Amino acid sequence: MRTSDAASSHPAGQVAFTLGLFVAVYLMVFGAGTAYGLHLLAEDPADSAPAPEGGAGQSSQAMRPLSAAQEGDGHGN
Amino acid sequence: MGIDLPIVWAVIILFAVMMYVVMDGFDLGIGLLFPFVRDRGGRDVMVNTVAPVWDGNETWLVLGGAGLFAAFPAAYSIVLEALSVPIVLMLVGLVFRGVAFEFRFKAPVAARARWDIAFCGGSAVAAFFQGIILEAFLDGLAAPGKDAGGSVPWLSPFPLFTGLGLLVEYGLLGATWLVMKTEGRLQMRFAGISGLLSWAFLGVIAIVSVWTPFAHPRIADRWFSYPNLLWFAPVPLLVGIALRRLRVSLGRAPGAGPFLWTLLLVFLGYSGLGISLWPFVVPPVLTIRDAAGPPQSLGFTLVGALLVIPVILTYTGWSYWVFRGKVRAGEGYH
Repeated sequence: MRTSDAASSHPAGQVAFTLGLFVAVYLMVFGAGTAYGLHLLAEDPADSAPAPEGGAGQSSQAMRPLSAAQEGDGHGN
Repeated sequence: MGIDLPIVWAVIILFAVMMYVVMDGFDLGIGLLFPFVRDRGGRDVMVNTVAPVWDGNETWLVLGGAGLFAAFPAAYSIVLEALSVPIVLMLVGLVFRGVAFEFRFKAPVAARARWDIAFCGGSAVAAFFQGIILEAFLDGLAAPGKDAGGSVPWLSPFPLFTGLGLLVEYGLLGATWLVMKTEGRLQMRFAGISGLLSWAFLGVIAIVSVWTPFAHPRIADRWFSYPNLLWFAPVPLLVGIALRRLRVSLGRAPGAGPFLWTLLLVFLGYSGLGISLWPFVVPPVLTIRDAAGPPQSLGFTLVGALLVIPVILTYTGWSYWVFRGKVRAGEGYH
């Protein structure tokens, strides 16, 4: 089977629209993520270090990558 | 082998899509209900009722899509080609709502309102386009290689109406879920909203039930021919009973009752969809058998599916069990 036989007959306008949409969405989402990262970097660590709370067996536990940013143990985050 | 592989795969995909509608339905519904709750504390509780389980819910969408690709490649190519724009728009909605789960808690305070809009808007866009996709699919897609004549099949009144109808359905699922998961004033608020939405949902069911046979003579034949009519006759009756029970259970100290009755309503609607679709995988051009891949690939992928599905069901059940009970203000996984 040649590539041209397998290709779908999507109109070019449709493909351009969805491609443009993907680019816009990724720029927005990753832009927001980058801005958040820069915001964290700009903070003074002494101000933002949270009091240790939660942990194994308690109601609040780190479960997501982003949880580590807020609920660190104060070393090496 | 005595196993009818295409049918087994069709059942797996129908099951996956049903699990998706049931589980992501209430979860998208929570986003839809944001405009009814203005204070941040209330919204945090709403999000925290699903925060530990929501991403598992979308597993079923992936399983349905991947299953279609593996078992019915011919159908996959037609569906994706005809409906790529609404499918991509649905995914964009899911992207924004997915990241909003994290950013509404983590973003600088000034930016949080924007993520609430992303959560609510993303949920609405995803639900609306799911409704459009569903009806455009049921309406029938052009055979491969045939031009649809420059028209956009999904951009017509009935699909747009089913898009709105799905917003109501998911809103009701979300509201009754929150009745089950919250307490006090917030719970009372959602009980009131559930009551209103239950009438709206009845209206949607009635309009779709009347509009469908008019719009699709093929489905009208299916519904109104003897002996099918005898089998389908109890469905409207069951819808009436479920709706009545839903409203009664909202009246007294509400717990899980309203949510469970809403699930029954959704299941009844979904069974109507299956009845109308059979035996097609892409109505009206491809039946389940026509679209099925070679038996070797069906068998090979079935082994994988049968290993994975029990695992998904187990961890899903477990996470709902771990996070059972009411969610209170200030409690969250974050």
